[in-house]
Amino acid sequence: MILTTNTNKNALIANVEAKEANLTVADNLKEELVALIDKGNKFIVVNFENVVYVDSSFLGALVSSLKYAIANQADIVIAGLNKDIFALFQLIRLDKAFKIFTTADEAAASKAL
Amino acid sequence: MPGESFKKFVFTNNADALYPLSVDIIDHLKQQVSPDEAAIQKLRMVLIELLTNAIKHSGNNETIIEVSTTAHSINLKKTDQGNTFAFTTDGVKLEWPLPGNHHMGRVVSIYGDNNCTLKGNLENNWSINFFIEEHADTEAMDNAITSLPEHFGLMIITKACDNFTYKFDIDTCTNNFIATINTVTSN
Repeated sequence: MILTTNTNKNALIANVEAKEANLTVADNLKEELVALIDKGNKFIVVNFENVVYVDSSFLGALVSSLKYAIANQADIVIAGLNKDIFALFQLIRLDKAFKIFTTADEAAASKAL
Repeated sequence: MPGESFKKFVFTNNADALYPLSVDIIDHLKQQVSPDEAAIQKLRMVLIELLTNAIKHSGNNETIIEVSTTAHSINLKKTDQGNTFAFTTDGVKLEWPLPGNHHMGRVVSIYGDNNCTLKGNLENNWSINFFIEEHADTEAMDNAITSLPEHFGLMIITKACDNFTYKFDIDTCTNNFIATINTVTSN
């Protein structure tokens, strides 16, 4: 398991526990997010606050999971990016595909509004 | 010459060694050329993707990362003897070295989305120079998510670099990915 979860208001917070979010854990991310969506979670906040870096494999799994979420009337948003990972999202414009929040609490609050 | 340096690093294609090696290389470059924070951020992105590419495609052989600097640029060259570069474009698989001379000068699409396409200029039978073609007229992202690619490695390196090329060396049968980041901006 690379995700630990907790609920916050109407959001499910999925904390990425791997410091190195790379190709060794990309498949786990997709499997675990798909399982959370299959359980009926409609608003999942993927929290990166413990993550040092992400690679393209992990980003690919994240995008694949977002497509699955949308097909199942769910949403995945992002929180807790360090400045390097945020710059990477901007570089390949994934900041346009995902809603990005500074913290998981802020993301959860957006759903509660 | 001021700013000129060269050092060779060995990568064992082990994921556990990926991040420590990227830190070692950046520390080395900080000592050589004192890159600014923007250049360091690009270097991190490029190194992580080059090393990820090595794990995916280099097999059990080790990968060599040659790091060189000039007064104006940082150059990262990844060399391995794994699978040669290959991708499918317009339903045709291109695999290096390319057969025949008829590909020279062609521009091919590798992958992309509504915002941009990663393309390659086939310089000759042995090399391809990557570049990004931005699309001026983009659709709303809500409608474009389903068309997003799920492979970003080459696009990340191409966007983070000032020049990115793959060359197959026929003499040594090695794959060479060469990324250049300019440290002095030309006006």
